[in-house]
This record gives sequence, C-alpha cells and structure tokens, in this order.
Amino acid sequence: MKRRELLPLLGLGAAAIALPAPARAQARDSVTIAQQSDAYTMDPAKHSDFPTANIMFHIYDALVTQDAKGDFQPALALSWSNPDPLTWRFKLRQGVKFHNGEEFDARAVKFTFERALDPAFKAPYYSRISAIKSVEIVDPFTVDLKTANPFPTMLWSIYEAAFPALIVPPGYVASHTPDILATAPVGTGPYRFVEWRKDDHVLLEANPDYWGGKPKIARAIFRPIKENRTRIAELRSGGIQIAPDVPPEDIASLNQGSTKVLNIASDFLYFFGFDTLKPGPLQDRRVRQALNYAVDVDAIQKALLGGLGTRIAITLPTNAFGYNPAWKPYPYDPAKAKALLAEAGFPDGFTIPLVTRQGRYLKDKEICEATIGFLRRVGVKVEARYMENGVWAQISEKHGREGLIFGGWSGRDPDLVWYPLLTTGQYQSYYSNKELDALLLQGRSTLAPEERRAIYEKAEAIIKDDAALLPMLQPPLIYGVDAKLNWQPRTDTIIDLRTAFYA
Amino acid sequence: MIRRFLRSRLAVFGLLVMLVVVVAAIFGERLAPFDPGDQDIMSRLQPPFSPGDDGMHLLGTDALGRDVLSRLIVGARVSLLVGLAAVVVSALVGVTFGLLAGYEDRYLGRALMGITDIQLAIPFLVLALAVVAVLGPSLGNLIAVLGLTNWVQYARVIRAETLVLREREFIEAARAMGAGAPRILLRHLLPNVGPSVVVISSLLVAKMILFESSLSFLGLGVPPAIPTWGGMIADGRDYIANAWWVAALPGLALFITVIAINLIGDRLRDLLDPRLKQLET
Amino acid sequence: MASLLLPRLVYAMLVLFGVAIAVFFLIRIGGDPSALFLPPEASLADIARFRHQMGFDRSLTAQLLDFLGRAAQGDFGRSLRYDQPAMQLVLERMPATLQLSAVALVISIVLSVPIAILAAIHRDTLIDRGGLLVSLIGQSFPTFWLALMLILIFSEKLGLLPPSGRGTWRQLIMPAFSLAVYSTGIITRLLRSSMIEVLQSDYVRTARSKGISEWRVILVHALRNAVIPTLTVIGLQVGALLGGAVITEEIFAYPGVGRLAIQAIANRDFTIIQAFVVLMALVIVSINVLVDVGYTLLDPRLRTR
Repeated sequence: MKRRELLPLLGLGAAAIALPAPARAQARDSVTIAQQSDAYTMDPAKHSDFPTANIMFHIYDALVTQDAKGDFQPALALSWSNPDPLTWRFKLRQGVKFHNGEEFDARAVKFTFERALDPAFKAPYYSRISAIKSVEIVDPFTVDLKTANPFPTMLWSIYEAAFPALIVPPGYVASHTPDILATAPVGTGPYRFVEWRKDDHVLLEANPDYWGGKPKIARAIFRPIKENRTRIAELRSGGIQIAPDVPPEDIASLNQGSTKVLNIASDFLYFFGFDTLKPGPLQDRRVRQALNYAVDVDAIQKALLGGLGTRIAITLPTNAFGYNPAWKPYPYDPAKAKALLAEAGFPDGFTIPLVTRQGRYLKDKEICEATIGFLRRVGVKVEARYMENGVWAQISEKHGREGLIFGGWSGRDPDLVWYPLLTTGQYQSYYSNKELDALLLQGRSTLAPEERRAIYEKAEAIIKDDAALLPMLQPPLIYGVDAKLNWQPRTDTIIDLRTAFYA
Repeated sequence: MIRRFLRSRLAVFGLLVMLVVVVAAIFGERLAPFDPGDQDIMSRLQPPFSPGDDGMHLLGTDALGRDVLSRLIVGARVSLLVGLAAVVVSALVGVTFGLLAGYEDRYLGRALMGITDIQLAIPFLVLALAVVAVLGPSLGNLIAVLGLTNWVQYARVIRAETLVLREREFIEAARAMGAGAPRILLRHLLPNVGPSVVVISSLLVAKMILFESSLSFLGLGVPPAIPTWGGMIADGRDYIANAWWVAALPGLALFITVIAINLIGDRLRDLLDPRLKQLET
Repeated sequence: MASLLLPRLVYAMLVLFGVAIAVFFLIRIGGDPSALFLPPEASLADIARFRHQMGFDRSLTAQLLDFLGRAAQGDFGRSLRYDQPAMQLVLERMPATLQLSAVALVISIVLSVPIAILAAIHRDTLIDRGGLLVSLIGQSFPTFWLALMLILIFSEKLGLLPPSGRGTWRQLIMPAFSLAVYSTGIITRLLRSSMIEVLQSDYVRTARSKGISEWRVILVHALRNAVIPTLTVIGLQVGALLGGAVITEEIFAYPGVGRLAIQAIANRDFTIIQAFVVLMALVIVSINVLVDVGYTLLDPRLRTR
C-alpha cells in the first residue's frame, strides 16, 4: 500500500517541477503593477485612496497634469488665466473623444465638477475641490471655475491627484444609471476599461485614439498584493513588472538580472509635530529646539533608508513652491540639546508620549523607534503609542493627539502644508502663533507668486526659530521594476504608463 | 503520578524546554546579554556571531540594531504571560459557566449554550481583530480578548460532565444531607471536573500563544516597545530574504515552545484520560 | 427527519440573530469611521457632513433596528468604501474562500487518514512515533510563519510556485497547504486515538472472528466507527479554516472573503463586517446542524436521545 501511494505523489511532484515557470516568457506588451489594495470603484469621484487613483488616471484625464519635474502641463486644458482674482479660465483641447465616442467639451467639465460638488453625491474628497463655487461655460471650449475667495492653489485642486477632478462624460452618465461609472467607466484616458475581477485584477487596454498618442504598452493590469514579500517574489518570478514600496534592504538583490530598482524622493513629508496646546515641556521654545538638535536625522536617513530620500530643512517638500534651497535645518548637536533642556528647567529630561500609526508609511515605525533612541540619549523618555488606523482617525478628529506626533503630510505649496498644520484653530494644528497666522492668511489671499514667496520666506524664519515642528525628510519611493521596462516614477506616487515602453 | 509522567522521554524533553522558557520569562533582563531596547541603527541587521561594541551578538541584530538574543529572551515573557493568563481567564469564566449551566439545566443552561454557540459562530480572528483594533493594543486588553473568546472550550465540556455527574449517588447523598447548591458545586463537582480542566488547559495554552503571535503579527498585539515573538516576526518579515535570522529565530522559538507545551499536554492527557472514566467522590 | 431538523433550525435562527446583534455592537464600540474616509485636510465641518450623510449621528438603537430590519430581508446596506451592496461584495468572494478551505480540508484529510490508520495499527512502533510527530508539528506551526517561509523558499529562491493570486491550481498549493497543516495535526491525533480505541473494541473483534480480511476490517468497520467522534472536530475545523484563512489570504494576496474582512476591519467598513460575520455564522451554524444530524444518523446509539 505504501508504494502505491507514493508513486502518484512523486509523479505529481515531478509534474509540478517540470511545468514551465509562469509569466516570464509572455509577449512584451503588457505591464502588471502590484498595489497595496484593490480599487474601490471605477468612479473617480467616489474613492479616497491612491491605488484606485492610479487606475483612474489611466482611464480618465484631468484639465492639467504634472510632469516629471512636478510642473503643471496642459492636459485636457491647453492654457489657463485669471481674468479676475476670483476666476480661473481654462481653454480646452479640441478634438478629444471619450471612449464611447462622445465629444469632450466645456459641458463635460461643468458636469464633472457640479456632480462632485453636489452634497447628495457624497464625494469623499469633496474638500479638495470645495473652493470651486461654480463652473461657467464661456464657449464650447472655454470654461471658468469661480471661487469665493482668491484661490492661488487651484491647479493643485484640479490635477490627477485631486481625485474628483478627473473628467467624466455627461452624455454617457445621463443615458445610464447615475452610478454606471462605478462598474463600467468611460473616460478620455490612454486606456480603456476591459474587466475588473474584484480583489484579483483590473485589466485595461490601450486606447488607439488617445489625444496624447497611443501608449506603447498595449495592456495594463493592476493586482492588489498587500504583503511586501509576496510582491517581491512575484516581481522576481516575472509575475508583475512594477512593485512599489520595496524595502531599501532589497535594493541590492533586485538590481541585477531581470529586475532593476528605480527610486525617487517623494512629495511626502516625514516630520514630528509637537502638541504645544496642552501644558507641558513642549510649550517651551527651548525644549522644542532641543528636540530638533537631539535627533540625528542624517544618520536615520543613511541607516534606515539607505541614504535615499531628501532631507528637508523645514516642513515643506524641497520641490514645493517657495522652498528656498538656502534654508538649513537644525544641526545634530546632542550637547546643545542637553544644555537647552537644562536651561529650560529639565536637566534630567522628562517623559512624553508619542502618538502615531504604524505600517502606514515606509519604515515609519523604525524611524519613530530610532528617533526615540536619540531622544533617550539626551534624557527625554518617550512612551510610544502606536494606534491602529481607525483609532488614530477618531482621536485626531477629537483633536486628541498629544506629545510628539509623527505624521506624514504632502503638499507642494506652503499654503497646503503650513496652513492646516500650524494655524491656530485648524483641527490638525497643535500650535498657535499670532504672527504666523497673519502671514499665512496673507499668503493665501493673493495670487501673485513673488509676493507670496516673500511672505513665506518670513514665515519660514518664524517656524524655524520657534521650532514649531521637527522636520525630517521626504521619504524615497522605491520601485522594483522589470529590467527591460522603461518607466519614470513620479514624486506624488502616481504611477503613469503613458510614456512607458519596453526596451 | 509525577513518576508516571516522567517515564515518557518526550514529556521530559518538553518539560526541560519549558523550564528554559520559564526561566527566560522570569529572569529576562538579567539573563539577556544586552538591553533589548538598546538601539544602534548603524549596526542594524548584523548576522549571528557579529562583534558589537559591548560584546558579541550571538544571534545577530535586528532592523534597529537591537540584539536578537536578548529580545528573544525577554520576548518569552509576554508570550508565556499572555498564554497562561488568557488560559486562566478562560478557565475561570468557562468553568463557572459550565458548572452552572450543567447544574441548573433548564433556563440558565440553555441560555448559556446559546451564548456559546453565538460566540463559536464568529471566527475568532475577526472577533479579536475587531475588539483589539478598537480597544487599543495593551497587555491587559490582549489577555482579556483572548480569555473572553476562548472560555467556550471549557464551558461545553464542563457542562456535559456536570450533567452526568449531578445524577451520581454521591451528589444525591450530599443533597440529602442538606448541602446547598454552592457547596455542592464547589466541594463535590469542581474537584471532579478538575482533570478535564487540566486537559483542556494544556491544549489551550499552546493555542493561545499561537493566537497572540498572530495578533502581534498583524500589529494588534502588545505595544511595539515590548518585544514579543510574534512582533519580532512581523518586524523581520521584510528582511527574510537577506537577514533571515530576524524573523526565522523568533519563529523557531515559538515553534519549539509550542511543541514542548503540546508534549507535556499530551502526556498529561494520556495519564488523566483513563481516570476520567472512573470518577471518585 | 423533520423532528430532527426543525428544532435545530429554529435554534440556528436564534443563534444567527444573536450573532447579528453581537457584531453590530462589537464594531461600534469605538465610534464611527467618518474621519477615515476623508482626505487628511478635511475640516471638522466636512467630517460632520459626511457623518450625517451616512446616518452615523442617529442613536444606536435606531441604527440597530434599521440594520436588523433590513438584514432580515437580506439587505445589508452598502459598503462605506466601495459604495456597492455589502452582502454582494461578500458573496462574490465566498467561492474563492470556500475553494481554498475545501482544498485545505481535503489535503488534511488525505494526509491524516493514512497516517492515523498506520499509526494506530503499528502502535508504539517507530511508525506510530512518526505519526505523532507529524501531528505534533502540525499543531505547533505558526501559520503565518509557515506562509512566509513557503513564499521565501518556493517563490523567491526556487521560483517554482507563484506566490499570489488565484486562477491556476498552482496558485492554490501554498495557501492551501499553509492552512492544512494545523488541521492535519489535529485530525491525525484524534483519528489515531479513535482508531486505537475502536480496534480494541468488541465490534472489531467480532468482525475479525468472522474471518473478514484485515484490510476490510480496518477500512470498513473500524474506520467508520472511528470517524464519528472525529466528525465534530472536522466540523469545527471548517469553521477554523474559514476564520484562519484570514491571515493566509492576506499574505498570499488570495482574493477571498477573509482578505475583504481584514481590510473592512481596518477601514471600519461596518456594513461589510456585518455581512461577513453573519454569512460566516450561517455557514458554521449550518455545518454544525449537518454534523449534528449526521452524528445522529451514523450512530444508532444516539438516536434514542
């Protein structure tokens, strides 16, 4: 009996090994991308996360788009101007068709924004576009976006990362049920929707009539794979061609053979916030400065991120509007830190909580732990509280964060970062400074770039001197990629295959 | 009985392993060559037998430069503590319910069995996830969750036994002599279900330790400052391709400990089971 | 037959009802997730507006009654994140999880039955020790660790098996095996001790004395009786497999219902969690009823109860 059982087992085993390895030898016209999660919907205005956004950006376009350097380029809009401080006028591209043949014109723009701004529609990212009070059609290819107050950061609210700003076809939606886009999307984008097998994959195929030129990659497939190890294993075996969020430790082994590694510093910001609203050591400027001196951010960057990413001098991305390369961060000086602490009345340090999530960003937990290590050396004992996402959201909502707050943020304009984080009364802000409030208000009330630059230069001086935050760095975006694939990553984490091709 | 227990070599092996683990759990920091929280990010992910500033890292360092051996030793504490405490909580709740439900069969018993069925119908991990996610990761919460989701194992068996036991003559006799319900439950029934409790407990400790490590793996165990084996595996999983020791060693520790517990449990069961068939007064 | 089934079905309905209420309160302990769905720069007013639109600002009792009323008609609401009917989302993924659990169960039965039989026959020999070792190892292996190791060895290093997804039978191997290990351990142990007991029973001795071949005695007579107590455990294991698939599905990116559940819990997607738990409860309760009835049918001694 034993032998009779063994033989078929052996046979099965041999067959399993003899069968060819999956996927590698497939035709080189498709790219499979693995993301952390599956899409939530195919309607661009009904979701709130980046994995879905990456898929949306291939099916739809926005009025403007961001290029590799982060500058805004025309997309469905050819040019823009401000006839008055409360109006943004866009001249639209002509001859563009949606996937179903419908013409793109000003009516589509009006429909898109009015739909998403309608409270009954319940767009999760409503607040991104809420500054737009109305959309007026000037002529079939010119449209005005009107705001209640001057809105200098309009372009940030209508490009692809402002999810509800992707343009949808009015005629198509009108002739079907209102939620048709959630399952059968139609856009102007470089790829057409083919199928969506939930939690398994989304399949898109190239749109030959795309206004930007037919993409060279014929098929784009998106697969949700959360576990890092599994993504990397798939990349190695050729099952996928782009794997985001590769840990720095795997770079060496992936940069050879059939795979390579691409990295770019993201727009994202790692920094520590201080709760200066509740009584405690953090209310003293000297303590906050001491904490800035105490942490060797460069060492953390080198050890944990392999030197990748970009150091920031102040809490603002280095490629943001108004960032001055001459700005310098606090240097690493633990002796000075201890001296300042003693001066402020804490010669033996103090204990303080640290509140954050974990697993949300690359190496966030390690960076927190390393920072805690540095603070310990100058006598500051940190009690870390890692919260689960949902709990963090609830506590944040009640303005309940305290002590040291590790967060991520993004925004390529000081108004998008400093205003919500540092203005008195903003619910994400745990800091209050009347002088800074006045400056930040000024900065968002005018559209003139030079004027704003000067204002924000003054603001930076206050923020640095008062040590309102502990800026760290812009983390790197590390992608494992098929060696033969030519593709550029973007700083805002959006994956775009429009210009990708196989060598 | 102890002599009979020791006659099995496997059980003795299990006992010795557990002795090591218990010693590690109790004396943790004093035995550990390094401070388990001591970071040195410049010497992270060093392989076993790497020299460090203050001595050799016998089992290497983890992603933050902390000594793996020291964390393994101190980590034993949480794994064991949670496992044992959760079992104690489960047993207390489960045995109480089981005795009551078996003795007072009409309403209390049925209601209780209804509750256990309801709880059994909800997948454990979902239950634990939902509760821990909301209540927050702390040692106390973890033990409470594990304990309160597993008491069912005791309740059913104890109830079934009690149902049989209460018809026995010695219980009748006690009742005839005027003993009240609490006395009967505590003095007569409880000692007799003792062997079953031991048997179930021995099975459950291993399961609890595995559950705790699963929760730690998912990030819902104890706060990360406290080293636990499950947490170490979770931390190390990104590095298994080039620094395998960070995740593999705690996994091995888990595995061996659970094997040891199972070996001891098996032996206890072999000894106690036949006795279940002849219950004494 | 009806007298067997009816009281059990009524009881099952009550249990399901209890499960629905229990899960409703469990997930709402921590409040509602409005802030989670909105962008980080959303203002408090935005969050309040969202909360009102979703109906979270009503009293708990109102929400509970609403939920129960609709659930009784099969309407479990729409997913907060996907904006599609919650039960539909769960049902879509059930076949995948059922397939995975079924394959895992088959693997564990195929592995444990021969091992248990051999161990029981050759009791106290090396073969028996081997069988016990298998059962011991199976019960002691942390599933998630096993999964990671399998991916490391068979996908990354050897490139033999695909580490994720669903569609080909090769994608099922590693996840099903990871799941099966624990069940194999338990079933082997129980079946072995059951077999040992049965092999010494009068029933088997009688069969042997009648001159029936040894293999027939073992496979037909002994096994049939030994399986009975194991049935309950197998029933329980199905529940464990469905619940335990959660971590396995996550690690192997397997598009099953467990993965949906983990994400739903992280996202506080109430409606999906409710739909998932009630559906799982339905499956488990049904299996329990079946096992119970099967038990009674198989073992004539129990019928007089």
